[in-house]
Amino acid sequence: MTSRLGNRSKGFGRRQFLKLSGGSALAAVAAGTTVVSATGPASAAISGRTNKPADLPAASGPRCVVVGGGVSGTTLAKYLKKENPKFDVVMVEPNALYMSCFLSNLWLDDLIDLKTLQHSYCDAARKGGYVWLQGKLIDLDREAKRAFTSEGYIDYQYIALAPGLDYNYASIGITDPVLAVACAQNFPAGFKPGSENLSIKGKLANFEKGVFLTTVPSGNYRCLPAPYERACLLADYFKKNKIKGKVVLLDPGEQPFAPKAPGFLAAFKELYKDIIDYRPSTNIKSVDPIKKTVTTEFETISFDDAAIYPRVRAAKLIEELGLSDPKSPQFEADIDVYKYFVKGDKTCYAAGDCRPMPFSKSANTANSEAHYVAKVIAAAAAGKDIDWVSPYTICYSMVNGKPEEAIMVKAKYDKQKFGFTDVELDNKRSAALGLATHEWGAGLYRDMF
Amino acid sequence: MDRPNISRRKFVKACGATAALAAAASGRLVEPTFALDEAPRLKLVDKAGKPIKASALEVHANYIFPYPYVSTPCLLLRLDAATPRDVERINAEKASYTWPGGVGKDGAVVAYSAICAHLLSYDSKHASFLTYHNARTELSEHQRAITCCAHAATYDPADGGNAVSGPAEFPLAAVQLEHDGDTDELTAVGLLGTVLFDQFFDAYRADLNTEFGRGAYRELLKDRTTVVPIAEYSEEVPRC
Repeated sequence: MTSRLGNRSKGFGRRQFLKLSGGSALAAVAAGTTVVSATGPASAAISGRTNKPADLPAASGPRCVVVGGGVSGTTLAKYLKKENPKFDVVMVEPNALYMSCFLSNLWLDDLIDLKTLQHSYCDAARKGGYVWLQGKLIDLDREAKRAFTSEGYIDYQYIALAPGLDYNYASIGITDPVLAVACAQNFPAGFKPGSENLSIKGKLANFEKGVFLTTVPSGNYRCLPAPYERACLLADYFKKNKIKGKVVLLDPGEQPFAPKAPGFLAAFKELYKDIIDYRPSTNIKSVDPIKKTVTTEFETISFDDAAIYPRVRAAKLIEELGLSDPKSPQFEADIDVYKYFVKGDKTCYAAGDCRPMPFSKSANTANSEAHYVAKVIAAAAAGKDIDWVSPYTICYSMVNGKPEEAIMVKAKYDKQKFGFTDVELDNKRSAALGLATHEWGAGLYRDMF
Repeated sequence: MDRPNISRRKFVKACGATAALAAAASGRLVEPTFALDEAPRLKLVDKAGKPIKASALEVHANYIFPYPYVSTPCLLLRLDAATPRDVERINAEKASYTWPGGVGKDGAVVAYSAICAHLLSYDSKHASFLTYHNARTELSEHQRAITCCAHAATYDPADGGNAVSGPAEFPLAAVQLEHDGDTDELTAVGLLGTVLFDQFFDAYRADLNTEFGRGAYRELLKDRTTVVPIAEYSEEVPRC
């Protein structure tokens, strides 16, 4: 490498290079790591931040790093601290604030305001007794137990990865990166909240007439009833704002999410007959975000605007870290399905929607699961083991905006096959369940923030 | 637990344990906001100020009274049978305590904090999410239970507020009641179990300040507390 530097530019020797790049380059060179790319010039822009410790107080106890500040991550961070106050907990999350996916459909229909959905990570960290490091995990050395973040590295005793999901545009026939970006930016799905939901809300405010297209993904996607609830609330928005629009809902399934199918179908028929065009048993073959068309196995449909929700996959981070199951169609984490640790490594866990188990990818599921995983990790640190506890799925769907009426399902999972057990459901929409919907969400925010 | 008037230490211990634990853990010095000299003894009265009679309470009906603060609601229930006596329950810190059982001539009058032990949903002037139901509902397959509409936490009022299904991990705090056999009148004299007032005030400070006046939500009631049917207390009482 020294000779390459020497050849690159006359007189630019090792000493000048090291001076420009800083001490970390010196350390890297000394360690034999490649700082310079094989083909490009030595870059003075390499800051070496990856190879410096993150700017954190010295660990006051065994350090637990939580990656991700979603429902799972915020709950994990708080309850790790509660389970063992001696833990020094650091949550790594790049977003400047939390924006909720759950209840976001209600905001699209003006049933709640934006401040209900937005929460402060400062508040979460202050009340939870942990540190929020605003940054991203970019690499992981599980042997050295060193987590490399965009803000520097953190040495840990335990790490819990809850990075959530990414979209898989190839699943709806979009493989050209140009078209994938166009689809994501022009017709965001709204299931990785923040800008996506702001855009959808803006589209509704601007919508004058025509077809607003929405989709149900295949596979185990985030929030199984959400596309149907969204169709209802978009239709309700059109109704109350007297917009001559149609909501087209394309669904590969034969009916809406099975437990709640009667409730959704009744709402479609009784409340939104002339607005919702529900097309079950329809698979999307391709999407043209430039021409604004979707091609199914039957026809090509033009739309005026859309929220296109493709199949999901575990956050790419899981795959990039080499932690995904090669057999998993959604590239989900390869973990012990009862204890959540990466196989062979009881210091590294994964939870939340990146999990491979067929549990519903939903807020209550992730929140209840994180309570349990925090206990698992605390027990592991104490050299103990605990019995498996099923996550708890309870979920309200607002199907009418005026009056506000919702339907409900609740369930747990059986230990052998992870199928639904102890199912209670109410498909008769009611104002009581409508009120409960808001309180359900409020309770989760209280637990996270 | 035959002495109804629990000492300051026990009362503060019941209320403050969780707060103190949290304060110690995070290194912050936080005074429990409700440290008291003595748990107040409050006579249960109606809106006109007349003491209510235990046998005049409607069986299975939900009543609300605040105790011990103006802003901390409790459920008063007359069940349809005498409850067991001296039931041992476990609180959030895994310590045991004894719930004495129902009072009144029929041994069936009980009272509990109307703040859910799961995630603090409560019975407010706007809506009561935590209520007793005699019959089964869709949300709760249990009869004669207190269920919370938010996440279906379900408690048994005949069993010291024990969490019988759903996500709550410890019982509802119980209000200790004294019954006068001669006058048939009731007095609230203390609280048992895990009391969540610190977390409750923290979670709802803005709402409570609006409802009761800034800072006034922490006023302790004196001498008496007013009992009303739940439909008179809350605008909405969802049946879920």
